[in-house]
Order: sequence, then structure tokens, then C-alpha cells
Amino acid sequence: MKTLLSASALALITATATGTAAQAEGNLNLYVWADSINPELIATFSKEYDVKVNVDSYTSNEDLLTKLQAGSSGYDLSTPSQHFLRVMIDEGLIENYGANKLEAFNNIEEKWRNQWWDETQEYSIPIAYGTAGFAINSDLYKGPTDSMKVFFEPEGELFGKIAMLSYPDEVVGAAQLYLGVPFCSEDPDEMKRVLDLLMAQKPAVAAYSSDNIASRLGSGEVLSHFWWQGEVLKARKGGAPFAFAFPKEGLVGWIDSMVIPKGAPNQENAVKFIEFMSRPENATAQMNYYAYSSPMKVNAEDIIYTPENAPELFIEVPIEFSRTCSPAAQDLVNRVWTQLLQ
Amino acid sequence: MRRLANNLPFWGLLPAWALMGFALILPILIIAAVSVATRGSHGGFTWDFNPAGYAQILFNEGWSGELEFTPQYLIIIGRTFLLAGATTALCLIFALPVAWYISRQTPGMRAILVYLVTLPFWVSMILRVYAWMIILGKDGPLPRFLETFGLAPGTSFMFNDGATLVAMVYTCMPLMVLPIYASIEKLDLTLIEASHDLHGNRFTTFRRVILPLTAPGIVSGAILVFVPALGAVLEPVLMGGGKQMMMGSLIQLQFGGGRNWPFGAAIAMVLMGLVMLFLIVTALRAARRTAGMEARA
Amino acid sequence: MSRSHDVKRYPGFGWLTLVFFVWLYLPLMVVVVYSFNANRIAGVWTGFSLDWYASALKNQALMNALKTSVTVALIATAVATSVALMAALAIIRGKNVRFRRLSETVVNLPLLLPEIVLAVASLILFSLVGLQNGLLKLILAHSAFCTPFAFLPIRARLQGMSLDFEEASADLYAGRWTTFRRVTLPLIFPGVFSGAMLAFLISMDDFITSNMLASGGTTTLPVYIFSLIRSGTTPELNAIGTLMILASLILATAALLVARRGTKP
Repeated sequence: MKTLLSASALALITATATGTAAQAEGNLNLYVWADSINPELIATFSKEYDVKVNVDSYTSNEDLLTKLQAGSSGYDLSTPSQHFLRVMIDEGLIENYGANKLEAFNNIEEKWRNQWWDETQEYSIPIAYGTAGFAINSDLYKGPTDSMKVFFEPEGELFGKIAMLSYPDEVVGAAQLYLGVPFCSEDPDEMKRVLDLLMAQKPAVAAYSSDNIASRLGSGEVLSHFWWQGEVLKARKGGAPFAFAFPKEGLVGWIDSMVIPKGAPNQENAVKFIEFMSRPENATAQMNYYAYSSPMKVNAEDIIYTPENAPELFIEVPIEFSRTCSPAAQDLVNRVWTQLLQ
Repeated sequence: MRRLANNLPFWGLLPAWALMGFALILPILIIAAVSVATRGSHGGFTWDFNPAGYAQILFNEGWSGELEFTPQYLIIIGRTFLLAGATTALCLIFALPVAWYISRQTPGMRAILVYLVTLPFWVSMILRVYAWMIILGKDGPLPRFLETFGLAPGTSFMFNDGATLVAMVYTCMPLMVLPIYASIEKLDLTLIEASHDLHGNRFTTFRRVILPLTAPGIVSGAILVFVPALGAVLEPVLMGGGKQMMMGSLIQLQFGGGRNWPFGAAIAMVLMGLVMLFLIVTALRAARRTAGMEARA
Repeated sequence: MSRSHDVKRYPGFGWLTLVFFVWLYLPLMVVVVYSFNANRIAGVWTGFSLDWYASALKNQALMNALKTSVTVALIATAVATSVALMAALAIIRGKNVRFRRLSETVVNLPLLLPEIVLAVASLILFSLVGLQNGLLKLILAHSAFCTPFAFLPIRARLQGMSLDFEEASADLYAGRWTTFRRVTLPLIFPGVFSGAMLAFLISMDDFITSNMLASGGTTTLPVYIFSLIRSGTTPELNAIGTLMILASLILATAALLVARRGTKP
């Protein structure tokens, strides 16, 4: 009662202070990757179901995991990558919303159903998949991009003009792929090799940063940036001279899925939203906007991307998906990262 | 008995104690408890006593698999203090003459200048740092300006400690200028004139009279700059390129990718302890200086 | 006394101050100038345009973030200023107040702690208490760390104030509350006003704590801006920044008028 009272008092203050009162049927609080959901779809959904949708964004899986672990986040829907999804299921951080009984389940492409990150497909419906790798400014850099050696052991013009992401998981994963060390290795000797490689690369790295990437690469501050391939595609659509490298060693893959955090206040609306996003016409619109591949059935004739204008979505080199590491393996990743940046 | 209406009895302090107790002291106690809890396998923690977080600051399993002394966290702590110290020193060097100059203006002019010092606060700090990224970056105004004089063509001034310092000093500066200005404004000018008659030298007057008299302002300015600088997260990453970790990022890492909350809490406790130590030393030195001055007088 | 003998003057300080202000305003100029830039990528100038102001005001997420920030800042400022005012009156003027020094340290405690420590601690606390309301979390945390910023100017004003007027008022048998409202408050108002301004600014600008505590629908402006920096900011943010400068200029005019009233005896 008391909380109800203070909550309503607070709502009153908010409403008067900001001049808006929520008049919609209900609310839906999305916590998703920055700029990842087609705003037109959100507007349509909002109108169709009379739900007020709030979109907040995070920039790393780690941030999302921390928020959910701290509890009472107030979010109704989120989109973690597969290796974090597995942790969230194991730690009881997300709801079992019976995804496999939804219409949405039938719209998942066969090969993406019941994977190791959600074997029974009860907790999640996938929304997008993609890879992380090296992007280049193709106006300023004309050299080879067919091997990760170019980026991990740079010479000449690339030296000092490379930027990496500031997330240990992504950087270490790519280094493991290049060295042929298995993901989530628990062997200190193998991980020492990863550290040695990254230490040797460090003098050639301008920055370890996950922010402001488009400007940095666009202005020529750096010639190559570790990035996500859909961002490269989206930026190029907007006129930026960016290209994505397809090294023969392969690329690190991820797949994001829609989940409902434990105790979410508007679960019914979240399920409605998941169903809505999974309709083929909406999955198509989402893919066209987000510029990452869709694991859902889409209307192929309406997809604006072709192998010519979007090689990023038609990848031929092998893709290795990140795994959920044991605490021991995770500690080794941390040790590499801390010693790299000590 | 004279009734004084403008005072408040002790209960005037109750709201402050209640607010600080719940939103400050309680969280600190909890973080102290978490620092000796046991880590969960994927972040989080369980309430089992385990001081491993503190041990980890100095000793870790090495690549050979044996427990060994690892200086990496000490290096990060040392670097953070160096950066915060440099920021404080630079702020002080610029703030003193500026505060002095402002305090010598007419009252109306003073109000305007003080306002101008605080105006940048109205633009979000992140946007101001972002503006520095544009200014110092490739093709930014500064490199172009230098190029017109044929200096250093094509250079970028980003991603080094200098760039970090520029942004740190920039965001902290008003917090140094304002307290120093406040204490200079209260200065008794006859003392300065007396000193001038005695020593005659501006520098001596400055060092022997003005500096000690404005010490309270300098101390509070230094605290207001030094403490936030220790916890800085954004500037080292955005400006410095994140090539060398600071304590702020290290703590954040433990609650994020590191998935070791008790260790993060332990570093936070150490950071807090070091700040307290710094404050006590500052307070003691200030007290000794005041005592010394009184003895001389 | 000739100018060169004026001991209060240090040659070069004026120039240094000028350089200081140029340096202080260089980034603000960049923010303002690029808010009129037609090009989406900041740093590349293509032409003059007011479009970003229109699109900023139409950007729902941006407006929501601004609303959240202003709501939190207004309430936190009100709370922090009241708490600080009461504490200052008790500490400076109170009789028989025990733990005076300790209380003052406690009020100033947020200044003495690196914010990241407090942010992490509040996150754990609120999750242990099970506090659900995101706005309430932000308001509580912001109220706490804004209090010393409100406290310091009020304290400074109170310390330098003589008791004469209030004694006169008390002698005229004005009630306690009347004296406070009619005499004390107007006298210390400049201190209260600048304290409140500082608290408001500190709350509006906070990133570290808000980022840790933000939850469903309660993203504040700095947190929103930071999430955009990942994909590259648009000049919409510069437009908002410029509008904030404008708001500040309007408020400052009011503040200067208040200050002038305050200096009158």
C-alpha cells in the first residue's frame, strides 16, 4: 500500500512536471542495442496495440548482464547475444515465456531453431545475426584485406592507424580465431600466445574504443576499425566510404535474441511485440533497417540487399560463433585484457 | 531571554542524516560487505566470507600457474593518482591568476565573469568532451590552424595522455576557479599592501602572503578536482584512446566483462581508503600551516 | 599611486584570463556552430541549416531523455536544497548541536567519494532493497550527491551574515516562522539560489551514476547522448546543447537580478 501510494504520488509529480500522462493501454520498455529496432515498426506496433513504447539502449552485452543481475531493472524486453543468453538462462535472469508455442517460433528459419544457447527454444526468439571484424576506409586504404595478419601484425600505412573495440570478448575472440586457439580456452599457454599477439599489436593501435567509430573511420583518424559488419553496411548506405574485410581465417559470429527479463512488468506486451516483430513482413522491414541478416523468415523479394551492394550479408568465409565460457576461461580472458591495458 | 528565530535545533540535521544514511552510508557499508563476499560464476555474488578480492590486488595466478606478485593493479592505481595529480596541478596553475584577476574587477563585472566560468556546465559534459575530440582530431580546427603556419601538417592530437589531460582539466576547471575566487575575494588588502611595503616584491608577496591566506580555497578546490579525477571514466577512454586502464574503468570492468563483483568492490574500497588518506593528510597539513602562521603572528 | 606600483595588479594576469576564457569557450563554440551544420557527420561543414533544431524537437527518444533529466534534476534540487538549508541553519546557527563537525563531514561526504564507487554501491543497494521505480532510484541518488553542492554556498552566505536584522525582528515580537520567512530567508536567498542552481546543474550533467541506475523508460539526457556516441552523434545533440546555453542565459539574467537585490542592504 505504502509503495503504491508513493508510486502514485511520484507518477503525479512526473506527470505534472513534464506535462504528459501516459494514456496508452499499457507500456513496453525495450532495452536493446543502440539504434537497432526500426522506429517505423515501433510506431506501427504502438498504434496497433495502443501501447506506449520506451526504447532505451545499451552498447555491450556486459552492461546488459550487469543490469539484469542487479535486478529490478524495469525492462520488458531485451536482445542479448547467444553466449550471454545462455548465462541468463542458467542464472535464472530471464522468463520462460514458452517461445516454442508462439506463432513466432514457426517463423524462425529451421537452422536457427533449438540451438545450444536455448535448446528447447522456450526463452528466446532470434532477431538478427552478424559478425565482428575489421572495417576499412576504402578511400584511404587500398591494400590487402584477405587475412587478419594485415590487421594483427600491421606494417606500413596501417601501423598506428588501427582501432580496436574496448570489449575484451570481441578483441580476444578475433585474436583466438587468427591464432587458431579455441574460444573459451582454459589453457594458460594458449592464452599467453593471445596476449603476446595483442601486446605486439598494441604499438600499432591508435585506440581501444567502442564509441564514435563512424567519425573516427570516416575522418581518416584511423584507416581500419574493429567493428560490426551491419554498421559498416549502414554507414556505406549513408555514403561513407567503408568496406568490410573478409579474412580467410574467418569471422566471429553472434546472434541476438528477444528475451523477457525476470519479473518484467509488462510481459504480455513484450510477447505481443515479439510476435509482431516476427511476422515475415515486419522481419523484412527490420532487416532492411538494421542491415544485419535475419534468422527469421522474410519476404525475399522485398529485401533491398544483394551480394553486390551488401557483401557483408553474404559472407563466404567461415563464421565461428562465440561460446559461453566457463569462469576459468573467462578469468583468462580478463587476465589477457588487464595485462594488455595495464 | 532573547529568542533567535534563525537557528534550528538539532532536528534540522535529521533530514540530512536520513538522506545520507540511506543513499550514501548504507551503500558504502554494503559495498564493504560485498568486497569480502564470494563471487558468482557469471558475475553477482553470494554472501560467503571470502577476502580473495583484496588478495587479488597484489597476488594472482601467473601464466605458469603459480601464485605470484602481480604489479598490474598497482600500476593502474599509480597511474590514476598521477593523472588526477597532474589535473589538479594544472587546474591550480591556471585557476589562481584567473581567480585573482576576476576578484579585482568591479562587483558587476565580477558577477558576469563568475557566471561565464559556470556557463559551460550547461552543456552536457559528454558533448563538451566530444567537442574537444573534434577540435583536436584530424582535420579539426587546431591541426588546421597549425597547418596554416606550416606546422605539423596532417597530425592528430588525439589518443594520448595529453589529450586526456586537456579534457580532464577542462571539465574540472570551474570547480577549482570558484572556491579560490571565493577565498581571494575575502582577502584583506591591507595585508598585501603591508607586505608590499615590507618586501616590495610581487612574487614574495604572492608566495608569503597571498598563497597562505587563500589556502582554504585552494584546498577545497583541490579536493573538488582531485577526487572526481580519480574516478574519471569517460575522458581516458574517449580522449586517451583507452590504451591504458584507469581505476574507474578497472572497477567498471569487474562489474561488467570481468564478472568479479567482489574484486570490483575491493578496488572501490581501496580507492575510497586512499582518498580518505589523502584528505586526512591534506587536513593535517592545512591545520599545521594555520598553527604555524598563528605562532609566527 | 601609479599603476606599476599597484600591488593588487600582476602584469599578464589579464591576458592569461583572456586566454583562459577563449579556451573555456572554444568547445562551446564548436557545439553551437555545428548545430547549424547541414552535414550529419560532425566535423565536416557543408552548409547552414536549422533542420537539426526541428528534428531534435521531434525526436521522441531525445525529448523523453530531456524530460527525465529535467524531472529528476528539479525534484533532486528541491530535496537537496531543503535538506542543505536545514542542515546549514542547524550547523552554523544551531545551539547545543552535537556532532556538528561530524554532521558537516557527512553532508559533504559525496564530494569526498569518487562517483564510480557510489554508483556501484547504489546499484547493489537498490537491488537488495528491491526498489522498482527507476525514477525514484535516480531521484534518491541525485538528491544525495547534489546536497553538498547546495550546502556549500548556503553555508558561506550564512557564515558571513550578521544577526542584527533578525534580532531586531525578534525584538519586535515577530514569531519564529515570520522572522524566518520575512527576514532570514530573503537575506540568505542569494546563497540558496546559487546552491540550487549548482545542484540542478550537477544533476543534469551526471553520467556515471545515472548510467548505472537507468532502467525502463528513465534514460537521462547524458546517458542517451553517450549511447548515441557509439553510432556517431548527430547535430541534434548540438542543437539541444545550444538551447541549454540559451536557457542558461535567461536564468542567469534572473540570477543577476536576484544577486543585485541580495547585495542591497
